[in-house]
Amino acid sequence: MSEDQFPGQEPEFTSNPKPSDFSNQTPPGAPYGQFGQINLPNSTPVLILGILAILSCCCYGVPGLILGIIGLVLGNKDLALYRSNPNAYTESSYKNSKAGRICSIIALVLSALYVLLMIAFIIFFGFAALQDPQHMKEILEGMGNQ
Amino acid sequence: MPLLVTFLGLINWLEAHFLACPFKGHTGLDCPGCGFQRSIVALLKGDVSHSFELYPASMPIIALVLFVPAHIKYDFKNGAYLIKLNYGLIAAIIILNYAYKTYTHNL
Repeated sequence: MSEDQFPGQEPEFTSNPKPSDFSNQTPPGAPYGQFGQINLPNSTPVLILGILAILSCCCYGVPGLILGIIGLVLGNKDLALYRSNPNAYTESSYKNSKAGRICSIIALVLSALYVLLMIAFIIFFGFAALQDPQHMKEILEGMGNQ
Repeated sequence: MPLLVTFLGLINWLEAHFLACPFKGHTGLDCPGCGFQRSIVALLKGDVSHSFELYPASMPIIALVLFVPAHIKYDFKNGAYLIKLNYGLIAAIIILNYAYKTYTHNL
């Protein structure tokens, strides 16, 4: 009966599958295979640090600055790790690390602007005015009347 | 009904226990983050427009804080891109809002 089958058609039931049937599971050039990939170690912490950095924009911008720097360092480490061996890590964790790193940079810039703003306030109004809300109000009212 | 009472109690507790801004305490001027807590309480009360008036960036920030854990758990396809987009939006809103408040003397 085997002559009745079409030439290109595989038999439906085979007792011994050929080794070539499994060849499509590992792409060529991938040392660990498609299914052996792991997440980058810092992808989740970097994302969370980025979010915390923008939430903590109080307290003169200092917590945002610290969290932003930590997030940036961890993110850079992750990206270097991915570039050294792109096939060992999952694409989604690489994207998360990149996003977290960008969030950290934005938070860092915002916090730095805030710190610069504080320094500018001290230069313009003097340190004494910043310690005394009443005095500050008088200065501002004086500016408004001009 | 007890749930509603608990919720209203929580709002009252939040209103009575705001974290004081050190910058505002010293100078009487708003910092770039001032209004966020009042805005969240207004949002919990259901007053969306007042919440937006107090701090326009609060709703994108809440969306970000809710979305990031969901993305970490379920790994959405364009999740990382959406987080980046939302983050940029938040930063732009904060800067524009502070510039606007400074310009109109509402600090």
